[in-house]
Amino acid sequence: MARYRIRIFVPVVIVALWLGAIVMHYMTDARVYHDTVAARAEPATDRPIEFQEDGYVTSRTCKACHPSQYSSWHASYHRKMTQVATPDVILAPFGKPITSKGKIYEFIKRDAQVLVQVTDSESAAKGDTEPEELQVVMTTGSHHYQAFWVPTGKTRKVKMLPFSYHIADQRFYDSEGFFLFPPGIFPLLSEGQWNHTCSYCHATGPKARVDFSDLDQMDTRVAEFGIACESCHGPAEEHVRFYRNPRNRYFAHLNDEPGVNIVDPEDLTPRLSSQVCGQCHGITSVPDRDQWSQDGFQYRPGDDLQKLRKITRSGQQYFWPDGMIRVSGREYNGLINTPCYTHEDPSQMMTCLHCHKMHRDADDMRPVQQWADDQLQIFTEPGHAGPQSNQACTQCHEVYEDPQALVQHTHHDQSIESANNCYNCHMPHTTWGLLKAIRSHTIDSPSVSTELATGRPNACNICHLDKTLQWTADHLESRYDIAKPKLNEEQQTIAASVLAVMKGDAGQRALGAWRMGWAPAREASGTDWMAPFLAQLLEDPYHAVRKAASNSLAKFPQFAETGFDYMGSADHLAAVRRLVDDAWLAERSGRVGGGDPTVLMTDRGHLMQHVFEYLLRQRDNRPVFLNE
Amino acid sequence: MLPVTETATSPCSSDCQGYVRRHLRFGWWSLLVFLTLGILLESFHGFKAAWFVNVDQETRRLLWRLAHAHGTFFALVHIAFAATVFLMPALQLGLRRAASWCLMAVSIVLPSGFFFGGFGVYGGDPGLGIFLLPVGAVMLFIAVFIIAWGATANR
Repeated sequence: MARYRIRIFVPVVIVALWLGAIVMHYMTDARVYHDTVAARAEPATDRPIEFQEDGYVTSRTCKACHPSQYSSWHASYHRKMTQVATPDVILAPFGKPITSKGKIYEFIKRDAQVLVQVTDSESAAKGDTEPEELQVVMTTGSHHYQAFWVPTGKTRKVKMLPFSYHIADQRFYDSEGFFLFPPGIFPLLSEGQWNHTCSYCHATGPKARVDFSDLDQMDTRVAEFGIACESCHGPAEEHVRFYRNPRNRYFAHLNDEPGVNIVDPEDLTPRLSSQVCGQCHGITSVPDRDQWSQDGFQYRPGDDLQKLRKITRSGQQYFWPDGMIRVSGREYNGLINTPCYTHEDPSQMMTCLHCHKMHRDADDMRPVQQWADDQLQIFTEPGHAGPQSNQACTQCHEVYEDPQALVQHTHHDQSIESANNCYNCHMPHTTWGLLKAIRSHTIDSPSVSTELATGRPNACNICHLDKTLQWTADHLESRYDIAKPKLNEEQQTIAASVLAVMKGDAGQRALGAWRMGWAPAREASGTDWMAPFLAQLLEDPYHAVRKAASNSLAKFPQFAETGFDYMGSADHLAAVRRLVDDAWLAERSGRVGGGDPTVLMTDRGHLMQHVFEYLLRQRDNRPVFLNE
Repeated sequence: MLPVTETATSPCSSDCQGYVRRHLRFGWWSLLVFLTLGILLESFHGFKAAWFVNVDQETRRLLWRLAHAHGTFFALVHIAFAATVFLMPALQLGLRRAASWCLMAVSIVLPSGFFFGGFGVYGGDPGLGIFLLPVGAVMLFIAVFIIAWGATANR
């Protein structure tokens, strides 16, 4: 009898387990997916934490059904914008002392933690102090540079270490050296900066939870560190719940239907699609700071951003005088002033996704890091294949698919690729950020009048560094019938780039220094006259200008190894400048010819020192804050 | 209640021996087939075939590994079934035939479901071949239930 009981009992148990599993599956909500190692761990108390609410489920949930998209996102710099600090995340070397602001710092690993030992320089010299140990709890960035955050000991409020790691240079600099601010002014070092400012866009679903009456009370939470899936697609809890049913999934697969309860920016109207990027890549303000602090942003992808936030359109810290954006990372502000975007016919409106591809295509053969650099679309137009092909523009401006029509339009020989590239004339490098010039995202046409009115360099003189504004105005008139503005004597006789680096404000000087290192400009303008101008900029008061100048100087083989430290002492800056000046002079001694008064070179190829000094005395020394 | 007609001590009849031979044959040949699939998958790893090892091919990789693992395992089950029939030939002929048929079908349907599910993958979801799986699972359950029942009757 017992054997019959077993034979009945076992199948009944098995069927009961099946049924139980099915019931459990439907009774639990989508948040069972959150059962990850990170979620199970005891939450930290001294830094912002991940906390899923308001329908956020995190990328860990998305991965199960969208491995390809997850994979390309995982390779992107968006993911790594903010990371909880572990030894794997730190790009800087461990065990290497860093001196900053009178203290010596050294990163060390301890288990899964990253610590920084801090010693006072003077005490260390006497050898009478034990180093203080701080835990590095978060990092910002992984592309150009990386900043480090440590607890303040006051709730979840964190502060930035006073130095950051420059990834290309593989060395540390003081953090203010990464921004174009007047020397001695650097607000980002204040405590709580990440909590109430950086978290806006360096995390998904942020809630600053700052008590503005007591700034030591910060209980900052985010749905996920870094810019993750739900930043662009919206909170996914309902979507996940719906598609847990395989019937719903396969119905969608077989009918090729868009996902429900989720936003795909490619399916939105051009305006709303661009706003998905604009929520971070735009300068906006919230109507109610206290509500924002407690509840996070009201805006979700698919909403009308302009109804929920105010789009900032002017201000010296961000904009050229005509309202064109001049700082990096705010490309949405550039886009919305572009005729291609403000098109009357919505089907013709340009969006971010006409040029950028947020998930790498399976047939994109670029190395993943190359795609991740700017997440640009790859185009396949013969002769112009690549990520910055004219094909982005000829999607609408079809006439320029014809090489002859393009050459007639550009008036440049077809063999000069850079001169027949739409971007170089219509999206020139007039924006500054990340210690480099970045393409303008307001598409416009070269105009000398605009340069006179705003100080923003025109595209012609960004390449033709050795040409005057007069030269440009003449060509624009003869080729495009653009009326010549009235120019003063300097503008008629001295190259526009020379005027910018000598007389411009810090932003103009930085752009000018950068373009002396830009390959198409060096090819078009010759380079043997540039060194004295770049050498002069090595002593510029602004860190960013000095960095741009040293980067451009490094393009000259003879100046590639000057040992220049743009954050160095005044003596160091002066010494390297002398070294460059002397080397340039020595190289030119005995030469005859090579004169070009537009770039202040005499007939004997020497610098017109008196004009040089005269222009330098006119430098625009008004403080410039480019608030990236 | 399922009928039992032979006792545990009875010798394996010629019909019983036919089943033993059939399942040994099937087991060893299918073991060869699925081990070959395993070698093939290893070589995809070895040569880093992009459509197999890339991160975004995780679903395909999982399904084909499952096809290999299940196929190999079922081959061994066939050999075990042959041994079971030989050692405990008490199962009624009809049930033995049903178990045998189910096991044969499962060994084809289940690995095929995984294998063809690896084609036409929808992101994290397998291709349509995966719909063979529930059929195979039911047949597997029936086969194992019959064998377990028969084994219990032989105690």
